[in-house]
Amino acid sequence: MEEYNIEKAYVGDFIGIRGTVKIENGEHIVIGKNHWVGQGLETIGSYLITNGSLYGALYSWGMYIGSDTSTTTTVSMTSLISPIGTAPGTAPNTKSFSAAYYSTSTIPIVITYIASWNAGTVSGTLGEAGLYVYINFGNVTNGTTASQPGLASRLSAADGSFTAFTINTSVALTVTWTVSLVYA
Amino acid sequence: MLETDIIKNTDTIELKLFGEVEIKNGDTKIKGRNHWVGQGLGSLSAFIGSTSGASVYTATSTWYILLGMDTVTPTNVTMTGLVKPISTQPNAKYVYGFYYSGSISAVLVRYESQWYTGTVSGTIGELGLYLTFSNGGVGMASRLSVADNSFTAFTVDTSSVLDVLWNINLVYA
Repeated sequence: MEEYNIEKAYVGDFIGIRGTVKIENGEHIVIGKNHWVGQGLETIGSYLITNGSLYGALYSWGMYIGSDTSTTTTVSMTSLISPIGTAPGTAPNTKSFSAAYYSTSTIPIVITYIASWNAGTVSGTLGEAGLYVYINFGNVTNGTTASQPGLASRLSAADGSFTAFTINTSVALTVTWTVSLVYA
Repeated sequence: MLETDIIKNTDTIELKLFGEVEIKNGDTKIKGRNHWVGQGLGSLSAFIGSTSGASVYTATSTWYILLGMDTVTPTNVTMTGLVKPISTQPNAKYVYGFYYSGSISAVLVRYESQWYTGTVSGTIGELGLYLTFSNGGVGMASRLSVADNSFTAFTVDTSSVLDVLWNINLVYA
């Protein structure tokens, strides 16, 4: 997985928000960079734009996988193309998240989401994965206008982010999604 | 606005948050890029990492812009306020927010503050954008500073309004 050296973080003009994804399934270990869809950008932006309070992005978050290998990610995309299981997809058997903190303070700048599917619970071709968070659309005069969980970011074979593979159903499948906020 | 190249950004791998500041005071017209301090970055990431339902405070709940006089202290990650703030609050302030949705997506927030004629004086060497953090506290999220070479210090023309427009942009990098 690409590493962002938080020790070298410095005050800069920009804050970059990046996501890298690691998929582990037996001998298959895949690593790639995510693509943010529009409602992912907008829900992060809702924190800035809203006067009031909102649902946290991790409120009712999820992760799903799909079999599409030909559809590139677009800004207007709101779900996986061909989810494995009934839409939005087969939920993982376990999921967790954690935050890493900037070394000299209590600033969390790396958030890690982990989802695991037990052996035999998902099958077929894995060509896409999606991080779902709680989508907010607040505004400057009215807070707490949350909607529902939705696709924020996608990892796709069609984007060239990784090579699709057939799921090994005899072992667990684990997806680790790391979102980093760094000075850029 | 300076170089907010929203339309040309088509690579969606990374999101980029940046701020641009415009200052107008009589003949003085300044544009510069802000520097984010650690608690500004940390509050945004805390929102992304929050599991709370309908209880996360948002940045624009309480906000203000302050002026300061320091010209020698560069911005650093641990800074939590201006070095030499001028305590005078603006006479008027406004905030506007925009979502650009569809094939192009971006979030733009405009914070504007005005100090009327004669209400502030002296040398301006730093400015701070104070926002509400996700835990409800209010503090400096971003700073524009002469010591960072973001602009040239100027003496306030007390016969003119001083207007500060702070543009925050979240776009595809």
